[in-house]
Amino acid sequence: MFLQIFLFELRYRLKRPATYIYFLIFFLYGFIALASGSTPASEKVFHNAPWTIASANITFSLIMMLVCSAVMGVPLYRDIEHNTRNYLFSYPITKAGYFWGRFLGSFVFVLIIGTGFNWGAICGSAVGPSFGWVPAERIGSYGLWNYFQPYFYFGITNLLLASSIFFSLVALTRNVKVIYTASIFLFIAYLLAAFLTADLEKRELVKLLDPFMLNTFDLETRYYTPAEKNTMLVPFTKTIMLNRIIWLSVAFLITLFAYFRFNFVRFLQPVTEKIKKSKKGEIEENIQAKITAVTQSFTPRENRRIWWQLVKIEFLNVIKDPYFRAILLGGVIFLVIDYWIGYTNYGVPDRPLTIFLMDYKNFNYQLFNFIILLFYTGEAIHREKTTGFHIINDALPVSNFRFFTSKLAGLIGVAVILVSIPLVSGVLIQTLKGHTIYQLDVYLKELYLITLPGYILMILLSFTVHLIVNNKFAGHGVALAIWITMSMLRNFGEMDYNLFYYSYLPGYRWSDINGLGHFAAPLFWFTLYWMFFGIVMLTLAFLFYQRGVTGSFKERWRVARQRLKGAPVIIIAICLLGWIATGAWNYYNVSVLNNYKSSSTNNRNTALFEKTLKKYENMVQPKVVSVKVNADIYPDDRSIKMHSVLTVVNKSGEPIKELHLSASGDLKYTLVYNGKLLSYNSPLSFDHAAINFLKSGKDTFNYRIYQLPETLQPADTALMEVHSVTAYNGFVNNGFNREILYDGTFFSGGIPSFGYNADSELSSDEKRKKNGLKPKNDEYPPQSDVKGKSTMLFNDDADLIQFESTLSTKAGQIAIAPGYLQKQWTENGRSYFQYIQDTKIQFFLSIISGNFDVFKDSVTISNGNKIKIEIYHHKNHKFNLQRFNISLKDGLEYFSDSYGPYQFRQMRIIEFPRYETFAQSFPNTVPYSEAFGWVGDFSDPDKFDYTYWVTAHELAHQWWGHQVVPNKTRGSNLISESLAEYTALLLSERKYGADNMKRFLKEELDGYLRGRASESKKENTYINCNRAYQWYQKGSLILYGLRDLIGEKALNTALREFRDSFALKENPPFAGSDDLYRFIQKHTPDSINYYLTDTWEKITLYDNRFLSASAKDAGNGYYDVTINFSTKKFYADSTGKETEAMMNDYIDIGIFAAESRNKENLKQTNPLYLQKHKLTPGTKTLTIRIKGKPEKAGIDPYNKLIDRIPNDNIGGVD
Amino acid sequence: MQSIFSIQTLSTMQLTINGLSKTYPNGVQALKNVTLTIPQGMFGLLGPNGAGKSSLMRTIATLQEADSGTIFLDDLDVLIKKEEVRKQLGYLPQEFGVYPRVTAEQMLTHIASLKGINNGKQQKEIVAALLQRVNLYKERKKNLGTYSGGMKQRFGIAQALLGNPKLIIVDEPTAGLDPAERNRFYNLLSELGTNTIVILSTHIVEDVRTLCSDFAIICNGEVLRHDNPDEAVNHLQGKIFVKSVDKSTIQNLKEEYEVISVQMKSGQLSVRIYSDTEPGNGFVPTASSLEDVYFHQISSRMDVITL
Repeated sequence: MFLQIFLFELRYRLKRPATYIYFLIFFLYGFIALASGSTPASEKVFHNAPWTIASANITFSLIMMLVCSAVMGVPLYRDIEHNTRNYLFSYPITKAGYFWGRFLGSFVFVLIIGTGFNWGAICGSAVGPSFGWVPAERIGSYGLWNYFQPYFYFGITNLLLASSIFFSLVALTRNVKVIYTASIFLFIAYLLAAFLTADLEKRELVKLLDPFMLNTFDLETRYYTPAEKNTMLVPFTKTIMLNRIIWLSVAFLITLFAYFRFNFVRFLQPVTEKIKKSKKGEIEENIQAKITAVTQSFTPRENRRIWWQLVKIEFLNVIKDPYFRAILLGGVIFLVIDYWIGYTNYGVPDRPLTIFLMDYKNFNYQLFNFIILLFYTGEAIHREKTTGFHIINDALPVSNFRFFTSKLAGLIGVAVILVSIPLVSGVLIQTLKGHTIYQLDVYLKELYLITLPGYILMILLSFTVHLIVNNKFAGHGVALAIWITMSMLRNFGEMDYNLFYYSYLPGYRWSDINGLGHFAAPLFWFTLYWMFFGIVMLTLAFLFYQRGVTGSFKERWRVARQRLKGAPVIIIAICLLGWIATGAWNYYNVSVLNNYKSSSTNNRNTALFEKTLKKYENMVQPKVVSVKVNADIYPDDRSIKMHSVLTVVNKSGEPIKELHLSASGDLKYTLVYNGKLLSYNSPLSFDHAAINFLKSGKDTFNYRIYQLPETLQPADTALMEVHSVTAYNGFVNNGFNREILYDGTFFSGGIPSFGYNADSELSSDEKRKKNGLKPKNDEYPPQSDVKGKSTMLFNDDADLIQFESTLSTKAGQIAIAPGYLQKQWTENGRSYFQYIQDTKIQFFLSIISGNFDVFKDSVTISNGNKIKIEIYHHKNHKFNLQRFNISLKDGLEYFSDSYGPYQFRQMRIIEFPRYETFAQSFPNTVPYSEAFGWVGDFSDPDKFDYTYWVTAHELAHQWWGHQVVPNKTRGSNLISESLAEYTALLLSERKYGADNMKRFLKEELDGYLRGRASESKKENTYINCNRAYQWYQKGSLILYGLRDLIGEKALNTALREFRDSFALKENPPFAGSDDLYRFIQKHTPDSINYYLTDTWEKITLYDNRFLSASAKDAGNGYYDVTINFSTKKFYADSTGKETEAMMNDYIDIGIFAAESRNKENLKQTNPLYLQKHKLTPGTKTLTIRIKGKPEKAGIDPYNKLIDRIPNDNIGGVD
Repeated sequence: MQSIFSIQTLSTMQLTINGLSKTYPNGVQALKNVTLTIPQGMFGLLGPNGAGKSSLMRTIATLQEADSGTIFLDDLDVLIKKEEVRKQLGYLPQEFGVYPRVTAEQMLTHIASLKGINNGKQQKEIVAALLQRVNLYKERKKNLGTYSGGMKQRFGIAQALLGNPKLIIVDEPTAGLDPAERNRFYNLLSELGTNTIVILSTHIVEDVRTLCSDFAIICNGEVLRHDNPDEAVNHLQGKIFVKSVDKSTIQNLKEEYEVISVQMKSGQLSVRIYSDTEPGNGFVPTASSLEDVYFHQISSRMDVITL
């Protein structure tokens, strides 16, 4: 019997068009992804590399869930739906034959459809390059197995898991809708897993818990270098195997359970309730009831009442639906978790500020809302038809308009519920967390004025689709396809013009400092624009409202045309006008007042910039020696008027005949040179982007060539006066435009810079090639380059300069620039501030203006200088002021003692809105993002105090960056960043102890390994570092490791000597990475030299592994601990290819007692033994006698070395 | 009895269908130039499956567009002023679904208020009365999802009769009803149908004879006959003959006579034929029935003899 049913199922599936459509869809996915190069592969990884295919295969097997539910959900349900029981019962069918026949017959097709992606990928990689859709060098040549290995290793198991769950659930519940719920819960399981990955400590757990292995795969391969991604078939590791065993057992058990519980006869029996036959007597008695005349009333008032009744029914139909509640519950669970955990920095959560909560609600909750709205709009439109009641309903005397708008209103009611939940739960969680600044206005504006209209727009679109398509499932499909297409076009089509993307709004972000700020206008106008469009669209669709029996399209068209009169015409006319008017206004702002450019236009322009102007790169230009600025800041107009007087000197040996000035596009300025207004020509202009068709002429690039009236001879001085205005007009398509704000201005422009800036060139080789440029290998010249050595890294327009400024701003705001405040006064209702910097600084400036509370303190450093401390902050952000303050005090003292005295008499930190999340160190002035440290919740003492650390880092830049200024050669950035990172780490360790640093070091190691894994060109050695992951993460790790080997004193001495020979040097040569290396080498003993070479001149990785440990009681509290471990060392080349290296290196072996807490309640580890051993490669066994009960042991337990797999270094002692 | 917007006529109402045609997208021509005048009282529609009865009824019930032709309820253009028609309409479709998790009473109350019956007391009374008359009062608190086919059909009847409809269209209303329920329904319909137009389709030909003052036979979308049932039967009086024959001879008989129906009776076949003259050959005259009229009409269009 099994065979017949199995074959029947196969034949049935073969006849279904859906089977072919599913296959085709997945085939196309694979084809398009590969043929167009839309894969997650970074530039040095092939689009069809084993890793890429595996990653895509796992992702698509998750999407295959939809197919699994469609194919596996119906085989049993079909018999219920079509009432085939009557003849099925009459055949000699066995339960096993029926159950397994149906299961396997359908599963075969799931397996076949599942290969669609892989076949598509094969064809895509074969076809793509020959049509030039994807660069040929991005497609590797691989055999068939490369494409199918991931399918067999990972894909099939995912398909089996989803299939058996869906099939079993229908078998057990006889209900096909249960699949929706099951999908939602599987999805929740996946999201939960994804969620936990944020926490480094929980990653091992996540690898096992993720039912579809997305996270498992991601975590297992996260450190794969480009070379490995290209060459290694992703192995079936122990963790992956465990994960599969767990989840396949789950699938197996569920299926077996379903099989044993399954009762063939009961399954097919219709649901019935016993109906009592009424007795004859009662019938006779009832028959007398008289049908009396009734009054029917259709007055407008009654109609409104009926409408309202319908609205309530529509609303309650959704609200009471158990599936709605299940999905919403899922959403709320995530909302609460997201609210509860929120943003974290180094594992430290932020306080639950309302401005943050309004971000969190978009993390996961929004997705559930999307599902709800998408799904229930279709349900509402087709509700009558689904039950078959429409044939009665549609003959009732209620107008189309009232039926339809009642559904619309009911759904809008649901949307109101959906947007109200984040408010209620937000206030609740804030209260629970003791945060009482509720900011209800932020909630109300965000939820009811921004989110709700967005949801309404979604409803309008869905309704439109469902009205036109007039089939529930096709409608869901079309609506979903529209959303996916829009998102794909935006992400891969390099086109994000919001006027073209239904319901899309310009990006925005709430800030406590700037509120909704300048985003309010674009949000309002774009919402209005789309709302008009949505209403037009829906009104048109409403003309197709179907009543009674569905007719042909021609007939529906005829009816729609008949209905096109009266109110619909007026609504369409008004809204169309409104749409056009707001569209014109938005266009005017985005494309006339501003200059919208898509990313591909930007790339093309940047390439043209390089092609046209590169010839000027080595043009000799004067250097600025003093700067005097008068700046008037108009926060309400978002503009800054600036008058800058620059004294320039020709420091070169060649005469200078022309000045080359470049500035950002929004800077308008005139140049007065030695008292004469100069004219200029602009050598470069672009064609306007096609979308900005109203702009006439050319888009002139702000690069000017001024012919000097008289040649500036070597050593000659000249005076340049720049009158400039920077103003933001209207609003833009996207982007924060954050420099000049109503409150919290942080402006670094206003003065053009000299010459061609190579940093602006396109760096991606793929984009360069596409735009006709050669690949670019290294940004900066080698350390020995003479010009590089005599140029400063952060601004090559000047060496050190004199600086003073007079700033004016709106009354109430404080304006700040580097320098000491001389005078402060009010004039014409504006506040004026005069700053003079009386010692020379780098030409590295910013102007700040905002409403601040000021915290003041001071510290006296060892040379007797008193340093003023000022912290400018938002009035509600006082939580961590002392952490900033203490860090500054500790740092000023320790750094002055260790590396030389602090060069200024003040140190200031200024908070700025969280449109950026960094802190940046200007001379004695540090703008510091709102989202970074000010509102962190440090109530858990074990958490890493990153506010303290980041503050120390920025303070350290006053030494590393401002005293010792890096030159413009390869790797020199490590002088400012690695040294700031390392010295800040030292300071933190002094305050919080080494244990508190562990978390941080782990993040640094993770950051470095991930950074090199996604390297898009080549990994440089540390001394030539050119990437943030090298100079931050790798830098702090290897310097921290070096200190461990040579001691803090030796390293500090080296740094001190290095600082002394370069500090505040006015003349070249300036410091390069080789200079620092030399000083460090000098203080490193020969025995440790291998470490320096390994870390600075090579790319070195260890593979240290704890294998086992056991302890024997040796009496008197002594134990003999035997540790088994292995160690290996590799050198990697720039692509990440590794070769094993000989070694005889110092590596920590540690044995630990149980953790305890010290008197400050900080967690602390208690090493019983921690010694460096000189180790050669291989598996080793050591026996060590210690005092105290051992709990854990390991090799390199603190992760001081760069270890490919850092978390297998420690294990328990048996 | 009067609704505010309904059209009140002193004389009797009349439904006039003129040249109504409809072709479905799949090419089936459901209605071919149908022209009928339906007066007040009960009007029966007879016809084989797929003849176009339901299409016609749906079109009158405003649920389907026509390709051409007109329908007027007195002066009211049914195809255009749909909403006005719906205010006076009671419609029981041949097939319909219900919300499974709503009780009959809730659903009827809801429909009552959609039909403009807003007076709370009246609404309650009429719902209760209708539930009693269709014998669902006992089950009124049960969810519709638990109803049997017959109960569901009775619920359908109740909703069609809500709100004093002037035009009642019932498509095979007695399908699935036991004989007692069928009688009960016809009594109810007769009681309500005196001042209204009731259009009734059925396969039980004799029901039309007993109930309807007027009837039409439709086949393949065409009206074959429009008449009074008694007159139609009288018209055939003396022209129907019957004979018991052997199965093997049936083919010969079909070629020779206009065979109306063949029935198996205790192993023998009883053949009814239509003949203007005495056929002889063992045929004996018999009383004509409406069924004879029916078969006589449609036998010209299709082979009705199935064995």
